[in-house]
Amino acid sequence: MKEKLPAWLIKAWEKTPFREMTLLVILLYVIKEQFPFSNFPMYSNFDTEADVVFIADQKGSPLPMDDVFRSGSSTAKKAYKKELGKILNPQKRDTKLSTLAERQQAGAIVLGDWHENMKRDRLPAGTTGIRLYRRTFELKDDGKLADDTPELLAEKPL
Amino acid sequence: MNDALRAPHRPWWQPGPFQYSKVEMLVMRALFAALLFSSIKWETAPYKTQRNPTGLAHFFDFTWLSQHPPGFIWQAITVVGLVIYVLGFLPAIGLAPICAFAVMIGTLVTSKAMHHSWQAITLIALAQFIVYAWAARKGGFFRPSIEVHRLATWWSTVVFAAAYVVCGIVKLVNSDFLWIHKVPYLSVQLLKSNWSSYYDTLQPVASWLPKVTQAIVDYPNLARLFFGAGLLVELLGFVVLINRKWAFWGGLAIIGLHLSISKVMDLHFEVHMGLAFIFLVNISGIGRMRRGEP
Repeated sequence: MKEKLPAWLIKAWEKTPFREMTLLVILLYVIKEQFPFSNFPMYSNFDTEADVVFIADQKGSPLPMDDVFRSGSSTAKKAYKKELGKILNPQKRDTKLSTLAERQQAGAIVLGDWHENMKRDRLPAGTTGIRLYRRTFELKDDGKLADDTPELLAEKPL
Repeated sequence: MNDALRAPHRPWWQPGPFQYSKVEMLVMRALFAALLFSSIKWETAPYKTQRNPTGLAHFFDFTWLSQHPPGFIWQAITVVGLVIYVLGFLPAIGLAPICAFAVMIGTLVTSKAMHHSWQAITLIALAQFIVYAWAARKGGFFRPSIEVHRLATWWSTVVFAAAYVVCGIVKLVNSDFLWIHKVPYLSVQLLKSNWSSYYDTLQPVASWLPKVTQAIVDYPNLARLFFGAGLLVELLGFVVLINRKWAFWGGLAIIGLHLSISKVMDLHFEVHMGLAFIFLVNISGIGRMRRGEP
């Protein structure tokens, strides 16, 4: 196989430091997120805001997501961001510029999915509905940390 | 012949497989097999859609796994495969079932929402499978030579190191090389990740959280030093390939990094810590490392 490659390529390969790893780093960087490949972009960029999504009962009291839905808050948040991205993609708009209606559209899809996997027997007694909320944390200009009242994205009666 | 004499001389920046002993690699394979099996999300019932397809999900529908989660028989076949892999016989055949399930289930789960717990371990399993399958073509099918086992182990560390280096590079590129500068903004990420854990379990967030997050904003340079050290561990991940000592200390640094992330951000990477412990700290090779063996 080596004989079929151009000499300059063989020479470059032989001089590359940590060559097998370097090649793999390039591949992972280029392929990005295609399981099992990944460039591991977690916390690679951030700004003054970060949000979580969570599911609560009809009164807004949080439900233990791992226990009730077998899938937690961060997974729901990623699914929500993906759905919101798909809604905004035709106009290639930033998710930060989304409207409440668009966020609610994405939220309804996610709540529908999570509802499908809900273990009803794990719900606290008296639960008659579930709600998906988004809570945003912010670093203000004065250097203080704050968080807004959670935004209702979707709700579903049981 | 002594391993030190047999090891080919290479410059430190072009390292090759360490001269692992048979016992070291037996221990590594046993621990890796246990970690790999336990890391797979065998409970596939909740994953009914591939709404956000990734990898092979672009071409294949794996949602049948939610209707038919791999039960006792398939898991038993996987365990039998892993046992013969650990013993060093027919490793390509032994790894095939676990590689298939790791890829299929991992693809299905991450096609619902992306997670980063399984990529490194799945890639390591695939790398070992490819090494053993490649060697099988040259006659090492039933019982590969010690050099083939060393190569498979070596590729495991190469994949692991690459995962950390690319992670560090992506941090620099995605942040326009301002990652260190932006560290004070991590305070909101800390709030987010800790509250996210709260919504998973309803266990109260740590009482120190408000103080620590505010301290990150109030003492930005101290925070940059702390989190910058983590970035450095990722970017310098390649040093674990140099020799046993670098691997050992690099492995401990990576475990330390993950333990501090677990404490501060409530984000847990047990699989990554396990991989660092198995392939880098290499508990059964500490004596050889201390003697400076290659």
